[in-house]
Amino acid sequence: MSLVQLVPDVENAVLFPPYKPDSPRKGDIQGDKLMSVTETIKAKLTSAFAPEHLAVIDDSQKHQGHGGWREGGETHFNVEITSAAFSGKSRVDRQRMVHEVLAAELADRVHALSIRAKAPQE
Amino acid sequence: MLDENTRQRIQDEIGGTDVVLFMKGTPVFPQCGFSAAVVGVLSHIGVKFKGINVLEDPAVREGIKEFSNWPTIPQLYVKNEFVGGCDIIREMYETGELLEMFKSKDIDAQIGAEA
Repeated sequence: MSLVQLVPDVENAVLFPPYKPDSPRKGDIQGDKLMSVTETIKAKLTSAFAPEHLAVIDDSQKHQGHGGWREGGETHFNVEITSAAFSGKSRVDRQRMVHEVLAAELADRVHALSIRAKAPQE
Repeated sequence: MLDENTRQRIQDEIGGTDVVLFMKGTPVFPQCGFSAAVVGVLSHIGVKFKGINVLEDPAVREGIKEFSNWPTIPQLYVKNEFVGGCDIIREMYETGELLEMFKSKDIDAQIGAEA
């Protein structure tokens, strides 16, 4: 049986063979290109919050061998985001807004997401 | 996913103790850096709390996420109220809000108390 038959779709193709550090991760598909999880997170947060400042840092290496870590990284992220959308919102509400936008990633590959969400002028 | 029995158990835990931390591992032996960070902050300000080890209880491990509408662990509850996860506790500690919050709820807290 060929590999194509064993692994019939993109999702499984990315999930089940052993990860190589430079292999594509399970991000979203944009056009015909599979985005990395980092790129996917950036794209989703940008379109949801139009942030003034956004940094998405793959922190996975620091967690190597710990819970949730996988070869290839993209399991642990630090997000710094500044957006007017957070004005007047509590810390809990801000993080929930981010969680909601990234629900698919959190349910799948992303094991830990550290968030610093600020409104402008904070 | 969150059955009635689990919801009731979580409700009993957060209603039964002033400060409850849902965490991975125990306060003495945390098994996740984020849980360990919150334990460290609470200990540093001398707050007595009950740690619930979600690794020993798969129903609570998944159920607490839905209960709190919060996808990650640790989760801190103070007097029945969800305060936040690791990032929020750390930020509130840095700004002094955490200490104020405990004081406003009549819970003993003091920098350097090391309970």
